[in-house]
Amino acid sequence: MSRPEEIGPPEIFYNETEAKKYTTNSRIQEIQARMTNRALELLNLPPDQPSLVLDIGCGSGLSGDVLAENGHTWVGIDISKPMLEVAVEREVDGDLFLWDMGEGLSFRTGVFDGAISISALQWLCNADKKGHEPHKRLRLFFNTLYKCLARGARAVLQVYPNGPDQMNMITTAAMRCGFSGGLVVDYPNSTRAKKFFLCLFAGSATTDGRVEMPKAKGVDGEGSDSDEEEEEEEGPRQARFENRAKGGKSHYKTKEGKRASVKSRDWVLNKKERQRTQGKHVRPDSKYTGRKRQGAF
Amino acid sequence: MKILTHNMLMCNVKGCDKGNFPLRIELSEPVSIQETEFNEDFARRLIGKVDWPALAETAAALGLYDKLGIPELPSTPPEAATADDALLKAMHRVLLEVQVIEGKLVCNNCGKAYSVSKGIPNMLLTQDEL
Repeated sequence: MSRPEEIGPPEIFYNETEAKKYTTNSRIQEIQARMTNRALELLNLPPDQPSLVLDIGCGSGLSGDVLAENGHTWVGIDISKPMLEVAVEREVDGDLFLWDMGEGLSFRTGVFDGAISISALQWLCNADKKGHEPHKRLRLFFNTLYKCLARGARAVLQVYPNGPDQMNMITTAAMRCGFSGGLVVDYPNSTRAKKFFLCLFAGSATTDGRVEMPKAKGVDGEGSDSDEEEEEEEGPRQARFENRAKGGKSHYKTKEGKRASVKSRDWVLNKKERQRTQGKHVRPDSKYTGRKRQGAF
Repeated sequence: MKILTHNMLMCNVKGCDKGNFPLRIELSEPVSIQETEFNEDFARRLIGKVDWPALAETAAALGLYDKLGIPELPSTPPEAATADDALLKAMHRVLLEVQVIEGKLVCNNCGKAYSVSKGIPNMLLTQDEL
């Protein structure tokens, strides 16, 4: 099955028939509900406190239903009018907006206690119209999202990237806008159950500024269907990133802090190691590695 | 659209950053009122989130005080700890029970009109407004 992102822009792809199909399909309903529950868990809202949550790409309100069940008030935005009309017919609790997230969110500063997005963000990476620049749209989106979140609030965005490049583009854009956080990959070893959750923190509520990254599910070769159990042991699957603007990672440096001479032995070993991890064919290290060639006769 | 969301919404046109809040509501159909469950905790938490001058202005402009039969809301933020039940209930009714169904939202600064139909405001911009 091809990806809907490759078929057409969201406001055209999700037409009336597609919106109906989407909402009445029990499999989609179940997956959406499960992903929303997981996103809500990662959102880590204070328990027993009714919160105000923004749902980006709310569609027909399947994710919103889960939010309402948990006692939260939600505001949903989506670019597909037919989807929103289905939501109105279903009499969802949240407030709905016809909105293109790539045009920025103009809510007042700090109003939302959290934001979720289920399977929507990857649409931003497409240039569907003349004048659409995915990088610009992503930056505008993350910038304005940061503004409308309360201090210390989180945004959990579930994405279906079409490859590592796209995921990288999204995380880089988020990081540039001041978010900290990272990617949580549930069931990394399964092709079908694998889910990417981008967890972003807008500043931090704690004083020391450190935030604990949530743990991924199904990391240790656990089956995809028994997702009720939480894996607690280790979470090596979380790609952490920090705000790069604070202290950019410096060039390759020696212990004394001076810049190493270019193509020294250390530099060569380092580069070979890097290429090995990339899976390239690299000659083994030896005592001759990084040595200068003798001059010609 | 609820008044609560209206109270958070600003004009999204590029360069329109002063006087772009609150958006003026122009109704083409009277507001609908749907009773919802009153939650004291949530109402108390909203005190800090709401922009009170804008809320008082909007409520007066839509004539909500007469319609709902509630006392006038203050235009300065009340103390969250000492707010009494009557105020919280009045707040709840205005913010969460009143729905704008048909009409438009007009920016007082740049004049951009966002149409509202079936309760859904259309916030899409044109190319030159980005």
